[in-house]
Amino acid sequence: MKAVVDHSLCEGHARCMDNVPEVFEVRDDDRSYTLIDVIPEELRAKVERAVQTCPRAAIKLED
Amino acid sequence: MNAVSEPLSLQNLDITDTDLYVQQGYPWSAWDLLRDKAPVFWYQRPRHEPFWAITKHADIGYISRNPDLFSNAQLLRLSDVETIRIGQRGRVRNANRYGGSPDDPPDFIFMDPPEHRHHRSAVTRHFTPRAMKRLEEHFAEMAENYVSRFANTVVEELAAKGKLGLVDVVHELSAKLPVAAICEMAGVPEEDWEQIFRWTESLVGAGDPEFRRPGETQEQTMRRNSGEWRRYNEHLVTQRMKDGFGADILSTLMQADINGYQLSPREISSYFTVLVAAGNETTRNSTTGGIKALLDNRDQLDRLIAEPELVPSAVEEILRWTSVVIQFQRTATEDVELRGQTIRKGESVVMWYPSANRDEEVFDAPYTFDIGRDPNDHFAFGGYGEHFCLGAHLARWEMRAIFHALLPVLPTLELASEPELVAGSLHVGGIKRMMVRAAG
Repeated sequence: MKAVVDHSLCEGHARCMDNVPEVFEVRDDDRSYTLIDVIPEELRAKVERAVQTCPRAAIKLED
Repeated sequence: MNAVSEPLSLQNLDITDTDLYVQQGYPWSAWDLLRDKAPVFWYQRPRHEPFWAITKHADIGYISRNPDLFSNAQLLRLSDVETIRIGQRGRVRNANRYGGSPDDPPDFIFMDPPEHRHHRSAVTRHFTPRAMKRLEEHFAEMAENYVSRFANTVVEELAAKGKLGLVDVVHELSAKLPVAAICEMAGVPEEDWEQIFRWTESLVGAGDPEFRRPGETQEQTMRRNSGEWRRYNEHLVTQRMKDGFGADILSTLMQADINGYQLSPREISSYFTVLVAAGNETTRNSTTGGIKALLDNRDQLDRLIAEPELVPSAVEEILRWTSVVIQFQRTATEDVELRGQTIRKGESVVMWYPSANRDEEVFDAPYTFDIGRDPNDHFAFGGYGEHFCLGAHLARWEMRAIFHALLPVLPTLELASEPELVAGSLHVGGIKRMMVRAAG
């Protein structure tokens, strides 16, 4: 499973980074970046929550 | 509504009569019934064009995530047919006077992606958590200052008039920080803040005779107001051109490169109006409603005083609890199936945010005010997606500063009156006045 952030939507609200700092990092350009390519199973629930609670609905999961 | 004895039903419920909002507050039981029996409900009532009433959290989330299916162009806020007519006449008048078409978006919220994204992104950097972090100490200082002046006023009133010494929370406290913060960020000089506040108040409150001049109709108030706004904005723009740009939002708008073109003076003015009005007319009401919630729920107030680190969480609960923005509207761009109903292309959907914020499928005990609620995925800033409130973090940071500063003061207060709602507004649950006095 992979998380993809749509940078045309992302504005750096940083909810994803608050939820899963292991996976998401908001950088100085106010965009969120993924730190790991393949999301380990134990983080799945947290990443799904990050997807659900992104204020801009900017994160998608890909298998 | 018909006879008092008639039980509430899908046939007689009313969620659009603004007089009922003023008399009885938000129509919570009607929304409860809709969520339970008809979450996608074709609502037809006199004085309104029919629309689909959307009351479930999940459905509002779906619509908000899909701006390609649900457009912001044309209808953005549900209003009665008379108010819509006034708005249309205004668009025609503006097009005649300033060029363009009456169908042009009045401001960038009426746009869909990709245009909306280009326009919105011009100012986002002013509103990110990183930007707010830089203002945190400044907000805290301002909040301390406003709260201590407010507390002094309460004490002075008590000394002067005893139990009759009442103080209005709205004007003496809640209004202060939102005006100061958005005006500072926008680049409005301090001597104009009071005037700006009166404009935004009557922009949203034009349906309430209290915000009109004697003899004015709603339409005349709206026209005078927008004319004054525009002239003031032109004056600020001229000022900038003379004195040079600063770090403020107006300077950003004047220099913005929107996909290769610059905003016209009229676009700058409408953009500026949206930001300043949205910054003023929302947080003020959440703050007032939050003060009431904490005074009504003393156990939660005691808990917050014992655990001040709960302030951010309490602010989220206040946002959910007060649900100041009542609705936004969208138009379907194609036929969409939702919970077995077919929403036809061109039909209108209205998302009722307070209802989503009491959805029992999302919130345990939704009618309990719980400052430690976690998770708290409220839609006080709209559903998540393209049009999520740009100023969400600004509102949060302001409210955290105010409620933090208020902690020692709140236990010394008691409510002296229920909040008085602005009449004629179906978009924002505005509170005109809420009186408190010294407790005891």
